[in-house]
Amino acid sequence: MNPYEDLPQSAFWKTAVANRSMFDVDEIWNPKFRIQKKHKILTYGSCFAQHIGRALDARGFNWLRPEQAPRGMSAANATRFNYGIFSTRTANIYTTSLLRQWTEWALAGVEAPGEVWTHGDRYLDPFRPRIEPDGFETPEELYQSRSQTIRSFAEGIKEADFFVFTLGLTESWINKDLSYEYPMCPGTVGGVFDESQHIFQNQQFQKVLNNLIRAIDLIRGANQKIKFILTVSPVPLAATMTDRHVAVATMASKSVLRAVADQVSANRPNVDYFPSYEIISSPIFKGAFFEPNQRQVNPVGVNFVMDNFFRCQEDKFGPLSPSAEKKAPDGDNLEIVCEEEILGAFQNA
Amino acid sequence: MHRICILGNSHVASVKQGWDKISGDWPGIDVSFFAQAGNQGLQSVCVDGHHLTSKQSKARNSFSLTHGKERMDIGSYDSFLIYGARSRNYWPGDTFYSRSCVETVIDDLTCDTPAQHVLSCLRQVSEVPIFIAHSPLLAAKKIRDRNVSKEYLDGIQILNQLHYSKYNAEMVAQPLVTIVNGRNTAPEYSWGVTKLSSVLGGSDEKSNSADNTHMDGAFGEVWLTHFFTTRLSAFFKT
Repeated sequence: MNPYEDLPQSAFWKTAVANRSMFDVDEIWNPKFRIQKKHKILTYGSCFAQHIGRALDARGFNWLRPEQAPRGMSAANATRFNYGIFSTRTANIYTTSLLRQWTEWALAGVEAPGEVWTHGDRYLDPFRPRIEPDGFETPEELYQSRSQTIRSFAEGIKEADFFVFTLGLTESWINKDLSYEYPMCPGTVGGVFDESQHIFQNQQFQKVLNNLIRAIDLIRGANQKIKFILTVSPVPLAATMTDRHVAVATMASKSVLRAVADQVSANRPNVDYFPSYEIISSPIFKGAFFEPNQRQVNPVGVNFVMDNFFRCQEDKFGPLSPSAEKKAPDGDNLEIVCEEEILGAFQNA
Repeated sequence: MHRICILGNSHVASVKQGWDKISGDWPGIDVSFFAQAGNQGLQSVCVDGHHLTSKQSKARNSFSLTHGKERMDIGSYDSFLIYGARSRNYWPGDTFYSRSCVETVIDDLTCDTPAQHVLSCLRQVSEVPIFIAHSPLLAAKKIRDRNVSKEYLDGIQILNQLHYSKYNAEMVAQPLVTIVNGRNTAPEYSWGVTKLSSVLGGSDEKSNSADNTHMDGAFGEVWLTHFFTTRLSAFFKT
């Protein structure tokens, strides 16, 4: 008699993985919470988070989008203006420190910085540099737009049942004097790089953890019932500012994020972790879900991840709500909005 | 005598019925119609010299029925009213949108509509006033209040500022007395609606009773009276 004898098949590599086709690997997630159609779900994070919102929507779940495109706008133009990409127009929130920053603007009375970038005669928001296809007409318009997003971000938090957040990066760029963080290095998608002002910081475990906890605590302070589902983006870094090979830097970064997600979900009853990172990146799946550049996730991989998400819910809690009918996600062919891609483009220049 | 031509789709049935009731009250105004149910006919119109016509025989047949001729002499009118024809109003809501975003949605709302196509055709050869009436607000099932939302009026104003002013045209709001619940047409105007083909053909065939998009002759009467009073006041009834 030993403690392993009564464990389920999923606990053993041989029965869970080695003796199966990779497509038959199941029970990869043991969800803490039942998600039903009535639940309001927010999605934020790095590029990969965009798939989660679309998949929820396609399956009839209540993907909460407090900041909507104007009525009558075509779907193509709504995407062009970054409506319906995340729950509000925050653009990608790559790091836990950026999540903390948005949360403090929305819920802690912290004033968003006044910095604007110029692009010809237009103005870019340093915190969402590509949110408007042609930039803003005036700084005032930019501030009003950002304030709208901050208000909507707060409204969503107060209303939601679930907050899904995808951790993407540890590498970050900070304004040295004012201590705020940019989602992208100034000078890449906008702004002008100033080495005396713009400081690179590769965040370590404790900092990533502290920022995530601070954000969660603020959100829970505004909404006691809200629960979190964390994921880690399986998309490798487009570029690293460390002196390491990008593959090594990617592994280091994802390992930190994965460890943080694990620690927070293990220690907090209102936080769960969904293993999209493992489904795409684990050797079990032989890299089959990456595009030929071995960075972007192909549509088969996205569907496989999201099918697992819903199947694991069903396995544990029974059939999905009747009205949450499955239909093919129509977003698979949509372009993912990922400013980080620009870094890859720079290398080609 | 002010000669106006009302162009549009099935919604024109309502104003035609309204005009039949009130024409005697407006001796200074002469109204013609140029309509086809559905939207393909209007989308197919083209300018031929100083005439508006269509290359589609079905559309020309409908124009014969509604206008008396397959072709309309654009130069013989003092103003035009494009009624319905998928023209829509804009609801700005209380969310902040950038100017570029608003311009884009206005473009989405207007481009590719038969109303816009007709407007562009008319403007190729005519400089007379052109008015646009959006398709009626959906009829309410129940009346909660008789308020008109500020959002509705703001949307009309924005459409005129950002779009119709470029064509020296104007979208005209639905008469406020017909609006309930802030954003719907009062339900009584949608009961017993007669089809366009019946109105023009002299029969009384009714639309689907569940139709909350088309309005009746009483609505057309209110609409035209409001329009004449506010836009064609020089030709007030005697």
